[in-house]
Amino acid sequence: MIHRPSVDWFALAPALILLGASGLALLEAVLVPRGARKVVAAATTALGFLGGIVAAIWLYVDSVHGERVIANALYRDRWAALAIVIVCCVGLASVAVSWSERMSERHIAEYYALLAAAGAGMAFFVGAANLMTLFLSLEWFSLCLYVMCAVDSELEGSLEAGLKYLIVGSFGSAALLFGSALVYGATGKLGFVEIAQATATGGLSHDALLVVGLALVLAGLGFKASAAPFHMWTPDVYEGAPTPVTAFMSAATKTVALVVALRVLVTAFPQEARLWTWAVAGIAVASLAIGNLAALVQRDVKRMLAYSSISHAGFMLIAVATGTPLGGRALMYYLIPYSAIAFGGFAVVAARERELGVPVTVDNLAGFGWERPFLGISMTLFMLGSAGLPFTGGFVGKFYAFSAAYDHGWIWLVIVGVVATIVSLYYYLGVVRAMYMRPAEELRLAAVAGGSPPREALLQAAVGAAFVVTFGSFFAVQPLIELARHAASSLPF
Amino acid sequence: MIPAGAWICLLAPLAGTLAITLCGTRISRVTAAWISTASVAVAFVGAIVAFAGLLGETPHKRSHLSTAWTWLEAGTFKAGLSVLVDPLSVFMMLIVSGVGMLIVLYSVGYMDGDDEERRYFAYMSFFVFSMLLLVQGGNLLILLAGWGLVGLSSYLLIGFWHERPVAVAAAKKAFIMNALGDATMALAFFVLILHGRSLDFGIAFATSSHLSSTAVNLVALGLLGGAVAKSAQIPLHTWLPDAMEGPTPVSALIHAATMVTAGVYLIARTHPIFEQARTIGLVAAGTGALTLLVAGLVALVQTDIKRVIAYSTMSQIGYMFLGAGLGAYANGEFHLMTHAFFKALLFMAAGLVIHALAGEQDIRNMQGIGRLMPRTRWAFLIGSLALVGLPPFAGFFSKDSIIAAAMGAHWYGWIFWVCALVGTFLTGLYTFRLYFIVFPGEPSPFVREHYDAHHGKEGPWTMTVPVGILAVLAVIGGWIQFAPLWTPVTTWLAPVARTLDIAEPTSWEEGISSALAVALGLAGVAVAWMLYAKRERAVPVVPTLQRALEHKFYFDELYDALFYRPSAAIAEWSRRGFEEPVVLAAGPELGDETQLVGRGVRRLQTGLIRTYVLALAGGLAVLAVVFLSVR
Repeated sequence: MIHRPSVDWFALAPALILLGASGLALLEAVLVPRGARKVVAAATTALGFLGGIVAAIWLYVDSVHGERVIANALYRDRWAALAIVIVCCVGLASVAVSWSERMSERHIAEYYALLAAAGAGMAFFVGAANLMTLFLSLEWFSLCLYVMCAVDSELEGSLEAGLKYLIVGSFGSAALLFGSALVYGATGKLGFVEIAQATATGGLSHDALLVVGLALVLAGLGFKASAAPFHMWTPDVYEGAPTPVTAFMSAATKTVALVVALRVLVTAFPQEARLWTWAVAGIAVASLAIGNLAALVQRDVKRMLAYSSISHAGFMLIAVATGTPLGGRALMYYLIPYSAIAFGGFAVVAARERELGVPVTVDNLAGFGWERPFLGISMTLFMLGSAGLPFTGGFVGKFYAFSAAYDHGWIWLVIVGVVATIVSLYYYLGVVRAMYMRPAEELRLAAVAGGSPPREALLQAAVGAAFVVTFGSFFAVQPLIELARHAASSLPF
Repeated sequence: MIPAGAWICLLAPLAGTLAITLCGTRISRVTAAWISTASVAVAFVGAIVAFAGLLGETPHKRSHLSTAWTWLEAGTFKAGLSVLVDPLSVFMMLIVSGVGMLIVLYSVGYMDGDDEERRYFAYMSFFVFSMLLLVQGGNLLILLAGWGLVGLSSYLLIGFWHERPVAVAAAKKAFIMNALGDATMALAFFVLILHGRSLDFGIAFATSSHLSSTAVNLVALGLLGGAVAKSAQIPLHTWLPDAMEGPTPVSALIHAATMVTAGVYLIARTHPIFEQARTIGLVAAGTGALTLLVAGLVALVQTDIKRVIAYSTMSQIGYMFLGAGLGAYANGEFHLMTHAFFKALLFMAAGLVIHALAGEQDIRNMQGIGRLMPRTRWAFLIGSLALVGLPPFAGFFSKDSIIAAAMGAHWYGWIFWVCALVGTFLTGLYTFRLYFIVFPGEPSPFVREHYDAHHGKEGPWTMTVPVGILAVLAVIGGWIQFAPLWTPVTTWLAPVARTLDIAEPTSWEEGISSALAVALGLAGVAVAWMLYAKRERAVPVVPTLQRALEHKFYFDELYDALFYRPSAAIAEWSRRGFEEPVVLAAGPELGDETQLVGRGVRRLQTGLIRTYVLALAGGLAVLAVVFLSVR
């Protein structure tokens, strides 16, 4: 007889609520008449994400001492809870931005169902406590994302993006799975904590299987975080996928991948810290170099933002690489403004795209700032935030990431980060320049081409929220850092 | 209650600025003017509330640190927006917002009809906000922020008439001179922060006792640099006369009543440091003594009505520095207050004259204006008498205590004492030279031609009422303290900045100093009367001295030769030798190279899945091999 573990339903609440919303939306796809289908499905998903936020906040408050629940398969702690809050906020904003996206109406309810299901998978993923749940939940949200990328099945680009993501992603997942198998083979354990114990007691820290397994796990997680050299899919997929999906992926997927990466590394592989800190630092440097250099020469704004997200992954991996409490705090803090900045940037691109009906390039952004003052100002703030200038949370995020590296004695990494920041200013400010500082004739051309479709209240609200977070996280540093500190205290540094 | 008053006091002018800025052209100019006036009036009410609250407490409890929010926190290091309400800051808040309110009200009439009134009033409110931030700042960071913002808003206001090249040049000069002081002050603060690991005043001052004497002296010197620049003392004083290019109410507000006295406030606030670095304290006193003489001498030959008053301001602040440097903080602060009254009065009365004469500022053309403007003449006379320090006017009570304080300070105290007394003679002379040239006698042809009465009155009520109020204050404002018999100001400030024993004059010292000061002041007036009113004797002419004074002791020329020319030469050299061959050549090349590398990276992005998987597998393989080899 199989022993049934006791289930802490509350720990599962965010994932279950989202899963419920997803199932409901799927039912609505067949039961609700076509006219009302979009409204009902979107509302269901939005409520699901709202419920997820509430449940996660509750979890955060109620899980002062992190613990493992459900047969030690899942963490119930503040580290996971805070990440779920971020994911659900991004999900909610994605619902708002998706509203006016020109997608085929036939499968609209399914789209929302997938969005909620992806959120549920992520909520599960960040709590994963053993290699099994880790892989399971990774596949769970990845499958949803593969389909969401290709949801615009009439568009060749969208299909291509979905297919590329699927194939390359399978490879990444396979790496993670194979790595897990090797680690299991070396230690005989699945749970992160048990792996660390087995490594310590068995003197396995130099075991060939274990270190190769670690390399594979690192690659699998690095793939999801789109860190170089596992990043190649990112620009193509981000460009081809419908923009709201890109926005969701850039903010939420990266958040969960990095959060889980730090958890796995410090929980399961503390004995190999010497290896992975250097490896992660190397990956961070590669991401910074490739992300920033490639972004310099992009004309397509979505591609440029994709490379920018690779470079942000590099900055956040600096924090991960230190493997210290300060690094954990820095990562968690950085994710808050980063999510807002990345999401907001893509949301503004979505607005322009709908206005013009063609992919947004630096050239056809001309005059956008004058036509749409609010979106223009917001985009400016997101760009300044990406560059890490003061009065945005990006500044404080970079500051913390750098101070974590400095604290760890890696001044060279700080220097690399600063040089990368300098390079990045060129293309971030290039967007601002394109929006405001073009010669008059170019501005007029763009205005004629653009026309003025009605403003989208929901999209503007989402951008507004991202604006407030980007701006507010600079001023509310202390409370946010406290949140991050409590969250990071759940990890066994 | 007390913190609420302080926050209202601080934020009301900021709200005024924002309201005027955001409303833009949607509100009329007059509305903007009244918004600004009302915002400063609200600030004054807030200051009174805080003052009343403090009065109700026992003296040693009168200190409230209120933090609105903490921005960053690490151990004892807390950076946040906090205000400190204690006797010293409330004293300054009352002066800044009270006198500020009268001056902004005066501006309503003075600036009426200017093209950019809204901008002017937004700046005025912003200045008052900055100044309040400076005096209320509860930690070193906020004090520094207020200090910087005051410099910025003064720059904006001096250059308000931006179509006049002179005004722009004056604004730049003021900003650069002040930036010099800002830099030394910031350096001093950084040293304190570095050693104390905190922005807190108390911790910073406690830290200074652990520093080596050289370090303390350097810190104090840095602070003194900031104070000297802001308060226009030698050697960073040359910006103040030029700053008279701004509108007259600006001169009254910034260059008489508030900003230029910030240096005195700074010394009083950071007095524990100056007490540990006594030498630097004495340097401050010496600077004050020197400035009061030099400025008094230069004022003798100026022909621009505002510049005469500007030099007199420098001279009077010299007295305050003398007092504060010797440790008589309360006397310095008290003189700061009475000076705010009578100097603002003088500027505003001069403003009435300038306003009535269509912008004329040369005193040689103003002769006899007193007959046409009798009330202004009285106001100016009251201000002059208060400035010279004759009883029972305000200046008498505040200035004489400072002079007396110098007597106790060893042998050098006597030098300061003599300087200060000579200064009173000069004050009487230049003040009444101005008065006798401008007001009495038959109106000159120029005056008759240009005099333009405002609806038959000397000015709109918005201008005359503040002048009236200040005239009253210039008479009675000093009566709140008559050392050594009656010393509420000293007692009030004692919990924050207790007067040093050495600077506490005895009764006979007070008596003899007062008698001599009044006598010498009267002598100055008498000489002025003989030379400029009765014209019994010709003004003695010593060509060399005259030229030296007219050139303001060649400070501008000296700085030009010493700093400007060498810097310009170095800049020119580095343009030719470095920027053109190196930066301009290498800069674009560096950019091109980077772009080229970027293109290379882009070429890796083939769009083919097999490349992507290859990269993934390659990265993975490298990781695995490295791990295996170094495990």
